[in-house]
Amino acid sequence: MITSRSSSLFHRLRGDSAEGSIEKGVGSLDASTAIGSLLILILVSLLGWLYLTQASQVTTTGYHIYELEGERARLQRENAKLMLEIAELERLEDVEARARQLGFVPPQQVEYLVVTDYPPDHPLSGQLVATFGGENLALNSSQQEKTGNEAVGVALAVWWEKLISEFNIWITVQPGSAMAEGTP
Amino acid sequence: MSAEEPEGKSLRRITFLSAVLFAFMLINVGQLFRWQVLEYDYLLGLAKAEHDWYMEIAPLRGTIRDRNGHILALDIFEFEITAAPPMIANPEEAADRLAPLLSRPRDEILALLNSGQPHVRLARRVPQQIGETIESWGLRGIGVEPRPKRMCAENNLAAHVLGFVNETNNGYYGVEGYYNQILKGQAGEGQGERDPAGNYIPIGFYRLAPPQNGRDLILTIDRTIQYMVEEELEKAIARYGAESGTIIVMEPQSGSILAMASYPSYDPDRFADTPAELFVNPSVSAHYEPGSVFKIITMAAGLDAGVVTPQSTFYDSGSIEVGGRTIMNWDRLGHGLVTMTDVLAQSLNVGAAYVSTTMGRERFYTYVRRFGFGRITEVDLASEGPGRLRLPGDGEWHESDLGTNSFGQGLAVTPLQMITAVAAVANDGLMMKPHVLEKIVDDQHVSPVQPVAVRRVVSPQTAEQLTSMLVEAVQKETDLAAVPGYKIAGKTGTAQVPIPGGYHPSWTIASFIGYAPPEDPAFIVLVNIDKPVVEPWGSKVAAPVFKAVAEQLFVLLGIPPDEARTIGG
Repeated sequence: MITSRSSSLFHRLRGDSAEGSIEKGVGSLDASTAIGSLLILILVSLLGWLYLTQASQVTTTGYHIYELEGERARLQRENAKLMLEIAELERLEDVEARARQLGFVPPQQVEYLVVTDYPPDHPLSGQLVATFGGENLALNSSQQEKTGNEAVGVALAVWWEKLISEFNIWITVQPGSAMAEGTP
Repeated sequence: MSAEEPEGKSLRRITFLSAVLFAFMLINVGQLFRWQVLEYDYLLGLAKAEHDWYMEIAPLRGTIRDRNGHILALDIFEFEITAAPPMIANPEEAADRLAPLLSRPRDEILALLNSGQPHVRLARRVPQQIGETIESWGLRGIGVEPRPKRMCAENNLAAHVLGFVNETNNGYYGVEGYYNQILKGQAGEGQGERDPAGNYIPIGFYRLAPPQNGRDLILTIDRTIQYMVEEELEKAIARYGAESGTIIVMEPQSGSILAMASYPSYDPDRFADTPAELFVNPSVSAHYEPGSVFKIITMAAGLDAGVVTPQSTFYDSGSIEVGGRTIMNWDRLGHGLVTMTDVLAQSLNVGAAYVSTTMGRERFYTYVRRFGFGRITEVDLASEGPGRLRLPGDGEWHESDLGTNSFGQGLAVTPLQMITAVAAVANDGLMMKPHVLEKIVDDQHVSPVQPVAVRRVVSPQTAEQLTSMLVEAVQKETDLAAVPGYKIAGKTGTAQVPIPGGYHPSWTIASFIGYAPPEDPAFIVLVNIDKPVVEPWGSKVAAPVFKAVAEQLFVLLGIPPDEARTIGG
């Protein structure tokens, strides 16, 4: 048996013609087996890598979810604590005590001022005047044509513009500047 | 001989070895039996304590706020500190650190940590700050579990309206009891495994069902009015040496209850230390004979049935006999020819009995039932009572009841029934269902509660006529209830207190019920002062309390005096 096998191998190595084609076939089978094995190895490695990546990802995400849940619970507790703080600061008993401490007293007499024709539901009659710093700001005729509520709005707008311009003057001319120095 | 000796030795050796092996086997089997049968539960507990974790996650109970959004009751967190002794590496050190924070002797804690039990509780109701400090240490084997706890933000303000919540997150009495299912939410749970170091294993078994928190409630109660009313009630109780009392403030047009106070009250956060009888809300549960304030109902019925008008007169001889019983006025005097307005202003029992008897029992009791007496108002507060009303046809009803009921004797009502009935007169004859819930709020949406009209009890004309009569009654006879600059429609009551065999000789329930402004009422107030010592009369005791409350309500609700409103349009 051993002699026969050695002889056969010898012939294969020599490439004798009688078994040449079969030996070539065996050689190509070995190559494809190797490639197949390699592919399987790569595939298994790939699957292993995918599994490990997934497992790692799941673990990381799991920890992250766990931490976030803990954080949510902590924030919920913090929120409850803050709500309690707000409620305690708003507690009427304490607010009243603090108000009294600051010198406030319950209203003894409430005076109601009757504003006739309020809220106005028709065009205001007569000259509508907005007052600012003792200065009367008369509205022009087109402004006065507006209906009651609109006219009040216009008057407020005029007053606001005047206030802004006064403020601008104030911030541009600070005490110690030329105007202040010129004051006797 | 020499050949047999080694054979015998071998046999003995084999027997000996077999015996030894058998003994070992027996020991092993015995040990396995001990571990797997006798100590199964204990060892399983140890293993579970080391590897598994399970946690029931309590839901947060809904917050209760007043109509302006101020918090009345909310859940805060307390902590339960537990330990798994087998997992604690250094019990001495753990006891040293825990003892000062848990206010518990170190030796007690150490004994628990050395107990060998799989799980022990070290402390309950630990404040949030301490619990979080212990949690931050991350001690292996020490469990820190947050537990919600109910807290009333304004201490005992509106205690009877709110009710209380016990340790199992169940509400009792008041809003907490009535809306328990909405407020309570649903518990969640978490389960999983942990590694030997006590860390969570994310790829092991893990399940989390988050809790569903309860929904928030916005009440119709105004905490400023509630606070003011409670203060006035306490002052009145002290001033008149009374035993108890109740004040209710309601919006007649919607049935919204703005304030509901009773004295004595309690702190819902300390319900465990409170006598159980204090839990009951007298406004909805206590029955009392209403006395003369009930004449409003009798007169409304008489006017609406067309039996009398405000100007109708009758001759008051000082007494009237109904069903064999003689009914007399409170002053035991006859007042001669009087109008129906005089009957209300002077609170004449004879006049009220005249109206009810003229109507006849069928019509009179039809109106009494229509005003809601003898049945619950269906207010959204727990433990409401129906009052007590005997009707013709009942075995207990007597012909004389027709007379005594007309001025509020022989029947029992709850304060809420009484104010709801008179509020119907204030609301043009339309009775509204009283309620304390304004909105239900959750993460997704707001569900407002719409006012519910129960039924029309009298016509708008009757309501208007009666309101004018009540305004006149206050102006003529009840100056202590009058608020300068404002018209008030109201009626006093001084009810005797029934005891077995009759009425108590000196105990009374002094009451006043009034609303304003009469033409478009913004509020109605009921004041009951029980068993005052200084004065027995409603006109002397309850009327001034009404005045004090009404004066402040005009300011708080921004209602200008009548003159200003008339000029201002």
